[in-house]
Amino acid sequence: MTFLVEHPQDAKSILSRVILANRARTAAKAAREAVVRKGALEGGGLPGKLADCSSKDPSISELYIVEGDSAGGPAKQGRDRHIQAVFPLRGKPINAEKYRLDKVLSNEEMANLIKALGCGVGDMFDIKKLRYNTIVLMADADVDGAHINTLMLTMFYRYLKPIIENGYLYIAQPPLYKVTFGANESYWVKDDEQLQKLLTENKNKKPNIQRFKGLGEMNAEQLWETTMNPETRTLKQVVIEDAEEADKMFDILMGSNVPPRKKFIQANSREADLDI
Amino acid sequence: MIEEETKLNKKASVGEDIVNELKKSYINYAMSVIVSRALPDVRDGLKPVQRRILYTMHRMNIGPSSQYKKVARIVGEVMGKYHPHGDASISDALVRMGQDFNMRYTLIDGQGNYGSIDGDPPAAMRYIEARLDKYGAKMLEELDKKTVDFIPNYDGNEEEPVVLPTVLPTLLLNGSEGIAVGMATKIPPHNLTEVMNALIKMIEAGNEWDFVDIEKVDYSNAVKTVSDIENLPKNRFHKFETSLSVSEIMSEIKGPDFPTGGTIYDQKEIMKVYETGKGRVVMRGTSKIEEHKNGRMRIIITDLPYQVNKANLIAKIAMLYKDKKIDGISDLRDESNSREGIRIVIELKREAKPKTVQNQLYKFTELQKTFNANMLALVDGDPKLLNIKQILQLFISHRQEIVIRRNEFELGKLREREHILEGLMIALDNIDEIIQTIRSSKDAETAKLALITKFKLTEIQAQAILDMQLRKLAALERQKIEEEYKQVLKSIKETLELLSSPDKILNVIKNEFEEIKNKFGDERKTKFVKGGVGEISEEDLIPNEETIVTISKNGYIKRVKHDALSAQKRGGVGKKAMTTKENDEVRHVFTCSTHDEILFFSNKGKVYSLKVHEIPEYSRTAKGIPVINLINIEQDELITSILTRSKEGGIIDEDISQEGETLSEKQGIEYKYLIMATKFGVVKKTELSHFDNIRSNGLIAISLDDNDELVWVKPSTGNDHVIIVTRNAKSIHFRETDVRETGRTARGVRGIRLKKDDEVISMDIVRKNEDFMLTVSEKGFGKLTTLNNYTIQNRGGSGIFAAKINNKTGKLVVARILDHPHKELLILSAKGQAVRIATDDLPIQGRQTSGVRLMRVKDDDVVATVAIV
Repeated sequence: MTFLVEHPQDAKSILSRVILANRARTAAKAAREAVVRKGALEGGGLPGKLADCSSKDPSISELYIVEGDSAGGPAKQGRDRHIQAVFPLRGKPINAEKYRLDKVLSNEEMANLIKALGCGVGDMFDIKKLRYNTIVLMADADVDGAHINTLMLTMFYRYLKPIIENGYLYIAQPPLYKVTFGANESYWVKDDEQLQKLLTENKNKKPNIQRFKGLGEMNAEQLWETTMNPETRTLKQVVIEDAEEADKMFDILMGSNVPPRKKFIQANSREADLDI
Repeated sequence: MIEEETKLNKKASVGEDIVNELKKSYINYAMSVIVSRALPDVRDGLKPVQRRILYTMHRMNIGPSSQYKKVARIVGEVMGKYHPHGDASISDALVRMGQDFNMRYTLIDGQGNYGSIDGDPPAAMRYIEARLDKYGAKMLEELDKKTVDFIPNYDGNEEEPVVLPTVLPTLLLNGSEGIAVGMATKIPPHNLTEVMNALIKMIEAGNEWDFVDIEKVDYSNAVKTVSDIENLPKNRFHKFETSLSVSEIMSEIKGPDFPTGGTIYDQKEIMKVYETGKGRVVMRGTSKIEEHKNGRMRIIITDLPYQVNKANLIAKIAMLYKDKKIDGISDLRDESNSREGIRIVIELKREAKPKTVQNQLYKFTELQKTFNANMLALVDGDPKLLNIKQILQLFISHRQEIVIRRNEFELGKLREREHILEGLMIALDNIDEIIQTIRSSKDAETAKLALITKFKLTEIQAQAILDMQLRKLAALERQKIEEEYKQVLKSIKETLELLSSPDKILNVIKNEFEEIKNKFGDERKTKFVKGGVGEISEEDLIPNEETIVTISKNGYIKRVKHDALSAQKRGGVGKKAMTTKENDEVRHVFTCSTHDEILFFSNKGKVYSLKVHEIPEYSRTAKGIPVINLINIEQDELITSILTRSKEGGIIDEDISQEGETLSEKQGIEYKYLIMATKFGVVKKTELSHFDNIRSNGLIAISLDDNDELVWVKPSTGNDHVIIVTRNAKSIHFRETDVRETGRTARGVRGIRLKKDDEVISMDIVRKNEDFMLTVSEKGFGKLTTLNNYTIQNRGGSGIFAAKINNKTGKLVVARILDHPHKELLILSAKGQAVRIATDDLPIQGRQTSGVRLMRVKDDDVVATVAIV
């Protein structure tokens, strides 16, 4: 004690080592618990929110992570329950760039997601235990959906990177427009090209074009047809082309330092696709 | 691996780089929040959700004089028609516009529980009701005169205004607050009268804008009907620029005016906010000190700074009381109610100092709070940081557009009426033929066509004639039409004149501002104080008390409470505080005030400072803590000399303190310099003011030669004498004026020329010539010598003997000036032996003598130090 009091500089360096070690320990512990805690919960340790698929074969199993309030229900109703599991997210996920692993895992949503994935996290991560080889982010095409996508990408990039590296992470491509002719005839349109085609085909009818906003605007069958059916859907696979660039971008956009983010926003504001 | 996987997975038709995906999603998210969620438009000061609520209420006709309508109903309408987001966020936004503690001028008139300043939530939206307040309704006037653009809503079935025409500069009146992405806004509310006065003043000073990039419109031809307005060029509106400076604007707008009252401080800081759009405004709630009947004092808080939650404030005061951070509170009550307003009563204990408690409340609670202004708003859809001048200019520009558009609309209406009246007059001139024509027509359509061809009428005119009532045929009615026609022509002429004159338009705007001011203007609620609030320094929170500070040889420091009984001479206290610990002994003891500052001079020639109250207080027997924990000295650096400095700048050195003068005795002396001396005999004189601001990592007080150490630092008046004594009993006495004044980091000059193996053991300032020099040698011999025995020499010489030393006496250990007689000496040996001798018992001898044995020192022991007690 006396030594520490008389040598504050030494005391400081000793304590910072201790704190660092403690942090590492809590992170490891949290990671361990995220996996070990299994059994304690119902249904073989899987979180109650997960609507699992019946297949146990990761190579054909798919996990849809959906923005809870609007799309969880229809996704569960519309899915192919043999191979498609649905995990509804409630609210906005925690920003993994700003917090250490133990804090991220103390967020129930994230802990549940890790459990659902089955592969563990941190020191306990084991890609072989991953229960789904297709993980699809499915969020609304509005402001909050865009935000949730950035937050989920951050989580996967920072703590579950091998999933991206193995090409297991996808982003769903729900239709962009809903085009209605008259009272009964309506189409979901995936892109501008298709929209033009549809409009020229139906020149003599008056179209009502609606920029598509939420997954909740579709009922279960429509969601299946447009977005989830493996035969007809389009998925966007997330790949890391330049890890260094990716690191930098996550730091700028999701980190705690504001000025670079502001600069990025100012420089790119014209490219934005606004949700008004 | 990745490619292989991609091939395997036929489901994925596109691969997207994570960086692109992240960037795209992020920019969409960020810009949507910035443009259509969190930031207000500079023109009407509203965020989209607020604008949509007000517009919806306008459409639902829920004006200030209509019945209240359920908030749930309004929210449903807003959500379904214009705002496809959560109902809670709409209802929250609506309620906030009706809270008089958040809005300086409430836009919504609420009925029911709209929440309180205590942070109580409003009732659910199915209970509460709302209608537009007069201010809200005012913002929407002129909306139906095509004054603003409308855009389709989210599903294209409705239209909504992009901005409200508002004649009220709501952005400044109510302020705004929002956190977007990568940026945020925080604009304080203002007083309507003041803002209006500023706007009027700006208009009176004239428009400095040079009318570039606008297209002139010849209204006499361009607008024949209301629908013609849509074909007018988009860039026909004037902007506004003023020559007034921010300080000229500030002669009208003193500063923010918060709905909760209170006081704001510091014109300079407010000016910074207004000039740059960014800055801090210090706000204080109102509190007064009141004497209660029983003679006790109490503090009454009657209003709070903006956005301070009263319940939290009270909880915080209670917590500070519990943690003993605020002393002297005996009771705390919230007596607020809606009729008498806020009233928090803090009863004080009898012994409490009300001003100190009040300062503590300001310092530790939100009774004082800063408003961190960051005036960001959307200008043409882009977020911009704006100063007050820009905000006002943009508002006048907005009003110019609105007034022009309103008059264009009116012109269109007048033109349409003119057209119809002309038709009617033709009809009345030829009334018989007209009637004949109509009667002979098969149906209305034929009649119309016949009228058009026969009388060269337009379809509109023909229709108007067909719609004409028979009573118009009366003679007086015809006169009325003619009069109306004349009136319409006159109005058209006026409107055309107005539209062609930017000055006239500004005049209209000015008159409207005057009208608004007279109708809605009110007194400022927040008091404005020109000066700064003054940092509440620690001193304001800590009672100024006498205290004793001790520092041990090993560098342990502590502060001991000055016993109420021992408010006598310091020497006496010094003795009691001297309970030393094992292997350590007290080196420095001095009495000072908790508001004083201690200057620590180290052997490495640096000086550090510390407020006395920052030294932890310990019991008399405690060891204290190493001073290295309090000041930034290095681990091998030693504190060799100490001075205290009072708040007023008065310097006291340790000896003065030890010899038992009271503070007041010494404070009269104006010290100008510090005299320093090193082990190697270097002296230096530096002006005291160089040490006014001492950085936390210390200042260089003297540049030292290798191995030399700074040991003595004394204050001097500029006319004092200096005596230096060495271990080999040499001494030199010279005038302070002999030492040239040097800068802070200088090395200094030679004070005494040392022989080999000699070093300085003392440097002292002679204050009175009749004082004595006390010398004590290693083996315990000592004496007093009157100072006039030490002749004055030039500095830098080898000096003269101060004592006779030999093997029996050993070398000198102590030499110090004793300017206060009738004291006791405590002589301590290196091995812990101690002897006490009254100074009156010391022999007074000449310089060249050895003195008498004051202490019998063992062969392997030597005198270590002498303390005067």
